[in-house]
Amino acid sequence: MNRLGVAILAWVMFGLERGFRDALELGDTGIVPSFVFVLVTFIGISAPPLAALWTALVLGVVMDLTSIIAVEGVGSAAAVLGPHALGYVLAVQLMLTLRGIMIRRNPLTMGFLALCGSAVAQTVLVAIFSIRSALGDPIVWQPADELVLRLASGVYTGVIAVGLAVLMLPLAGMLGLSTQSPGRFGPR
Amino acid sequence: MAHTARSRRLLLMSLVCMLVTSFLPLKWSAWVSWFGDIAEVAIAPASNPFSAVSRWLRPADLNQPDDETLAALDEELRTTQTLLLQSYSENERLQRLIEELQRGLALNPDMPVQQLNAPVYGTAGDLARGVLRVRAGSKQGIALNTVAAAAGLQLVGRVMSVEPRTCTVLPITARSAGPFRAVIMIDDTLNGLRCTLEPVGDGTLRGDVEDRRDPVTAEPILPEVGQDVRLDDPQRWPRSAQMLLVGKVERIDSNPSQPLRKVVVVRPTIDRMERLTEVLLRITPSAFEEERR
Repeated sequence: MNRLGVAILAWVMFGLERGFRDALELGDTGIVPSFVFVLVTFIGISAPPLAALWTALVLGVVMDLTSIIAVEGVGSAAAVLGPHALGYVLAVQLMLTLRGIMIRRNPLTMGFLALCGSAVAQTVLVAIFSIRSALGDPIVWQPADELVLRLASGVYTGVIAVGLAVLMLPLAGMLGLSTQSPGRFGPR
Repeated sequence: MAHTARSRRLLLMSLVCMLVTSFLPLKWSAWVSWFGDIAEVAIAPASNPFSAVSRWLRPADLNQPDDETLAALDEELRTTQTLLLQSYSENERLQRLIEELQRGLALNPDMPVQQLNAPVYGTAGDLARGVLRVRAGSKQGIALNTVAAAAGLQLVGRVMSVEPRTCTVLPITARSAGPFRAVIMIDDTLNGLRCTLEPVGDGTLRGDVEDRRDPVTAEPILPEVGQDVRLDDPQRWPRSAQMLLVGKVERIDSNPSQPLRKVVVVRPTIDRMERLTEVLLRITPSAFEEERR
């Protein structure tokens, strides 16, 4: 895997995540796609297993570092390291399990795996923050609302991933990734 | 093979660390923000152009008239109204202060407000929706609780975290913003109806209005659709934010649990605050004091 190439692509995806995704919000529902998760999916279906897990961890850590959560009362905010990282790694683990039986070059595969992976990652994230909230952390968090919104955003991410797959899959070779499905007797 | 095994072990250990840090109490997680600032500096150049395109595609609705001259006059009128009411409020405060001084109480020095136009370069990740990342930080004098406004001195929100070159603004319409006290302007004086507004989540604010009666006729004084609503919450908001425009009364409902009281729905004059391209930060030296408090 070409680490520099992936890092540049990640930088662009974080830029889109922070700067552009609000423009794609469905009305005023708060449902928005995640560009970073599309990259996680792309890595998850095309990188070697260990590299895919490490990349998911790093992307999750950066996501955690740059995401803040409002704290009750004092009008302040805090960052929590871990929820995105754990969610992304578990999501990639699911993709590694599923990708063997899927046609990796098909953009719909990326859409489907982005949807499933996003559901896993967001469930992990909601679970962690809900436990924190239940334990008395003063964070502003409404578990049921967040779960519904995040699962809907996951579906939207899946739809966006199909479109982005058309652009990203041709880059796989340049990034040292493989979109070839393994044959019956091992990788082709 | 040995390298792969070592890498797997390291990954497992990293995941255990992540699990631990996920549940660390917030008071022990302050160091995360320091690393976050560094990551922010790296990501900001990438997010800036996308943010500009995004805000060009879906701008904030400033609800201004189409005609440019009319729009300028409208903004001037709103600004002048705000300044007038602020001077009333300031006058009242000074009167109270004089009374307190006469009683021998301590006095806070009066601080001037300095305004800084700062561009919005993105949002603050997916955990705090509607929050704005702004390119101005502690180096420009921004501190926690610095007030952010927009055209016509419409209150936008306040700074919830600050880094040397950037800060995060929590708009009043964000769900996590919490309740605040405001006053419905029934005339041009400060004698308005007090209410406590809370963000609904759809860009509006909703809250109970005080039950007040006309001393002569004993008729209830009711709010009306279209009346201005201004911030009046000295306990929770800095002085530089008092009397800034919160929005206009959009709807009046009856309170099912208290029939004598009304519930108002207030909409800011700027729809979709999270789409603003820039905000006006009202810097007061006392903001530092408020942060320390």
